[in-house]
Amino acid sequence: MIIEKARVISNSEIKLGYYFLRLFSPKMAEVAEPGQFAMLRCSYNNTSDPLLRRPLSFHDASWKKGEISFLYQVKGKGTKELSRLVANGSADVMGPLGTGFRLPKVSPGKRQPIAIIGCGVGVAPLVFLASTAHNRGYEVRTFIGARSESSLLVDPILVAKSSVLSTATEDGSAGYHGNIVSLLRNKESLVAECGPAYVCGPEAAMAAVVSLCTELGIPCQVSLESIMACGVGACLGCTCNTTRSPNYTRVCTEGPVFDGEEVVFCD
Amino acid sequence: MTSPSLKINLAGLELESPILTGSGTFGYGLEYLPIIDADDLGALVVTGTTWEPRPGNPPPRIWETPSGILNAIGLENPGVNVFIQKKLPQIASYDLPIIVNVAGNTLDEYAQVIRELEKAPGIAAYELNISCPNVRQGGMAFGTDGHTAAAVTMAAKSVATRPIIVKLSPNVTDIAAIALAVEEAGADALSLVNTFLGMAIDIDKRRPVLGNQMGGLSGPAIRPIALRMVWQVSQAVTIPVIGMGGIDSWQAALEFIMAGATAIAVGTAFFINPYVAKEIRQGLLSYMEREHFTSIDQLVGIAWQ
Repeated sequence: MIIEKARVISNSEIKLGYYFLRLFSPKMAEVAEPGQFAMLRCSYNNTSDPLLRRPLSFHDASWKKGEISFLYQVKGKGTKELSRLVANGSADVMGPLGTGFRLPKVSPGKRQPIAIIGCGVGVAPLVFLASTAHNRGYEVRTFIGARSESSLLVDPILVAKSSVLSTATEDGSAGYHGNIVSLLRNKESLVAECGPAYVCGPEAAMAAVVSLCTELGIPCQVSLESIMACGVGACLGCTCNTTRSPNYTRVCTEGPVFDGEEVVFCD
Repeated sequence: MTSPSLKINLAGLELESPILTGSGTFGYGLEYLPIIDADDLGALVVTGTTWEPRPGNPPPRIWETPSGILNAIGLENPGVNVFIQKKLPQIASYDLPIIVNVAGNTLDEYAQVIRELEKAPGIAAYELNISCPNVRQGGMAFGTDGHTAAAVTMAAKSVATRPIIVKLSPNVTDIAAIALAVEEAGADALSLVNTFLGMAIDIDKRRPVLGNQMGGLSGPAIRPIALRMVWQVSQAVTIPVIGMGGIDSWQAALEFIMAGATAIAVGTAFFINPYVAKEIRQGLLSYMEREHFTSIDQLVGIAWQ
């Protein structure tokens, strides 16, 4: 794990309320894996409010450029402060943390299709996965959902790395008119060939996608979001219910990526 | 001039630094010790240990408040036997004195856990948790009444050969009275404070935020109240006090020491800044050099005069 003050390359609002933060951090870029996250400090100049760091999954990491990036939505005090970071300033970042996505073993010569399924800002951790998978020879099929066009994040890396890219909005303002599950049902033959599916989004959407994957008989991995205090496994604050253990499981350490079927989603 | 000394004697323990870890915030040290310098710490206070394994409270367990955190972890731990067999040998490799925080539902459970820990090597002292606000039985219930606080202390003393530190709850009207009762019952030192009972409500869901409804408040938000309690207690008792409550800098640490704390513990601040112990240690040393103090002892309770 690395803790450092990284130079901000840029931090720009790419869509109303959604920001894209790029940091120069060669050490972290070299070791970060898709699905892992970093804890970013939100209070500077000796203030203690907001107190905690915020966990953000890596949107991408390039060891060649020595760059890590994050795509985040301004939701509260912490992300509001993050949105104020300016180019050439510094960001206090700790990572990489957690257990990320696992790609399947493939037989040589076979171009295994995987499904990338993201809703809203849940697209963020899937971008790094899609580019890594594409570079390692997997075929990436991407399905993105959102409430409306204003929260639909069609990342340029996803566009570049995906052989299939379908979008849906619940209000029909862009792409297929419907939620993520109805989009996946509509494209069922494309989804059913994939293995695994990688899912990130609001909990209700993830739960619905996990049941669909079970129905289609394809394995899936989900990236969970949780409020975190330490991010390293010490405080036991971010636990979730899984079938992995009779006890609670730490999202920050055993996760944030879990097998879909082992997560016990709340209603 | 030789460099000033941060060495302290805490209830017979010779510690290299007055900076300890707050139980529950540092796990078993296994997450942080690989990345920080163990020499900055005087001792490791490990997470609350009970007789049986405890699953802890349902999530959500933490919530950020202005300059603070509410937590309702609920003493999640693998139980004393797993602690001794699996965790203790791993922590021992860091060569730091280990203080084990002990919790229980009954007087007997405290004694039972300590009896088991007595068989294990490499433990420096016990810290009795009579102040956890997040468990139904035991915990804070033992720490909010002088008689029961004294009874737990006596039960622990009767089976322990190692020093007993009692961690007090701030959720009382007169903390000095509890401190005196515990001192009289034989406590070797006091830790204060544990977290303040608090809560938050999600106005969209119209429900308490935490799975346990209420939780313990920590962080800089509680610092002035914790400091006042250390000030009151350390003047009322003769045993040493470990001060804690929102310490996140050498200046804050010094306030607690000047208020009468022999040692201080850092908790919540580790989450934000894992290097905080080093910054505090260096800050204390620079201050002492600048102000011509040779030993940290000279600063303990200096604000009383």
